[in-house]
Amino acid sequence: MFNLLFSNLSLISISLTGAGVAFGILVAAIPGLTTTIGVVLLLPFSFYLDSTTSLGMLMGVFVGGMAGGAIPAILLNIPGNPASIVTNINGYPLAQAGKADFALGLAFMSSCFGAIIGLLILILISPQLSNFALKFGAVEQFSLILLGLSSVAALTEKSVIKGYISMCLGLIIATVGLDPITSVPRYNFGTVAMQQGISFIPVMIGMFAIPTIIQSLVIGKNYIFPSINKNFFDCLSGIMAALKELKNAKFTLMSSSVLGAIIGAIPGTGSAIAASLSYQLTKKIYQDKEDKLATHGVISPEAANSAMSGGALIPMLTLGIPGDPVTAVMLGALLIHGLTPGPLMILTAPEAYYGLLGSFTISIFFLIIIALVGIPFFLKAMKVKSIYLMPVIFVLCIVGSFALKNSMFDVWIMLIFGVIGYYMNKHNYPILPMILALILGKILEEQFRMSLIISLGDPFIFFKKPISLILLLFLGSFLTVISVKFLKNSLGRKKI
Amino acid sequence: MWDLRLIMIKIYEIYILKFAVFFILGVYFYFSIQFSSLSLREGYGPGIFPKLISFFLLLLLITDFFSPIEKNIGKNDNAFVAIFLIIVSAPLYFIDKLGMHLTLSIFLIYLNNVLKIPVLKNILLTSVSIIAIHLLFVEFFNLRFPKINIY
Repeated sequence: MFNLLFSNLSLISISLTGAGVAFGILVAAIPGLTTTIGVVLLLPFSFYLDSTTSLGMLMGVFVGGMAGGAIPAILLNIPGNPASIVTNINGYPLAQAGKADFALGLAFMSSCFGAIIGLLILILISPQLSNFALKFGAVEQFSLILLGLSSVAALTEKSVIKGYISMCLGLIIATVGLDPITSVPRYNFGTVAMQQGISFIPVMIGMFAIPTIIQSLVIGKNYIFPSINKNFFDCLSGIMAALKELKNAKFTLMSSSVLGAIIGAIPGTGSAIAASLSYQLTKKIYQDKEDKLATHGVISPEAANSAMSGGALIPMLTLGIPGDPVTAVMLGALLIHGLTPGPLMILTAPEAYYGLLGSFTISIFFLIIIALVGIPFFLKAMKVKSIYLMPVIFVLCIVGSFALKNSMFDVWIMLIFGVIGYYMNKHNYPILPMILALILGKILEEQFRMSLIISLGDPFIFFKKPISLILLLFLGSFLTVISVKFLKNSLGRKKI
Repeated sequence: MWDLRLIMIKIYEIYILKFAVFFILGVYFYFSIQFSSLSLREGYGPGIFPKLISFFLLLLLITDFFSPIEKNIGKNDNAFVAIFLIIVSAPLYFIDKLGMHLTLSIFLIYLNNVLKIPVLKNILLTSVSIIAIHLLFVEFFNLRFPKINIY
């Protein structure tokens, strides 16, 4: 197996894989740029490289991108990409407490571990997992996404009702644009820009970054960047402390990684839902142990989102169906080189198949090195006083929003939702359910309508399919518990 | 007396926001009526999902409307937010004439000035930031920024 994985890798392909990891981390660390954009930017280079080298480079970007989003999430409270959408909840408070090196160490090492589990699952059980993934049709996908969104909305620290209101508002925004089934324009008010829908990236940037900027620049609230006065070796000891903490979090690591890989194997789900579901599960387990949740709340989403990268390769390699947007681009790279992904790829192009797995392994190795060497440098950047960084962050938010579609419309969206986010924060309406609903809303509706088309309009299809029924039973019991709690609190005249 | 006034402003603000969301929901539902929701071939049509969301959101909003309001007092900062919006929106509105580089420079110089950074440091920081942004986004990522077009 070792020979198979590494025999086709040259020094150039190994170097470019490492460069891909570094590039992926850089792209993901800039709010507004996602891992998908990073992979798309490097795709043209595929023409000039052999299949093994180009796939290795893209794999490096994928692995680096899943980990890199944690940097702005932990240091700036701004998730770098959907994969890190919940990492800031526990990561940022750790950084504010002066443990930014520890928090970043947790995030990167969890990502490495998650990627290893994802790779092992990919190598060992991809045929079985792809069979299971095939059972997930539109009906099951709808139920899974609905369960994910509902649990995120309900398990917010603020009011449950407000969480669900936030989720519904996100779903409303997701319906703007073209209908996913009939392409009928909805809520575009005659404008071309609105016809394309409202992208989640400027909304995410606006709702996380603008309220902080308003508070610090306008209100004058002192914005304290987590300050680290440690030298390189002290930061390393923070990273080692993170590794020690990971030893005490074996269950969280394993469960989150396995969950992330399974979700990644289901086409259409993606890193956001992998990270969110994993985080919600961890939060439920440790809800009474705040000190454990503080660290496990960083470990679980990062392990899940990196394991998802392995899971997402399963349907791509075994069935020719991309598991998420990044693997969709990688599928394009395979086609550029005349390779047809599918059940026969392992026989027709074994050097590309095993080369990709070997590159995945090497990417994890580079991620560990970059984590150990890079974290002290990331933190050095944060020693810059906040008054110098805040205006630059604001300007980067504008450019990052503009970068999406070269359109000022997204910049306006960023500003408008930034103000909305400010008032939502002020009145304790959680932001996360809204953003997650915006990311997943179109897929949710598409799967819902596809299910009804398949069943010829029978709405009970969701209860007739066994996997969907199980997921909806989970959802039902979960909602029942929440409702009973709400009624008890209302009768006891307590606020929830 | 001042606390009571702030509480009243906060309650006033909360109810304005709640009514605003009700209004948005009303407009949203009104437009959803225009889309068909009966076609079985299209999975009940493009109107079904908006109607379902509207229904659930209405129930939630009614429940939230009668929930007790938190009385923690915060500053009344609406004027500051409005000023921030106006100052930020004005150059962005004219970005097609001013160009991205000039607009971003205006923002940086203004914000650095608000933060009381000395003039020379302000100019240096702005120049370095704009050059770095240009190199990264325009040269490396091949983004096309709006250019100056005053005429």
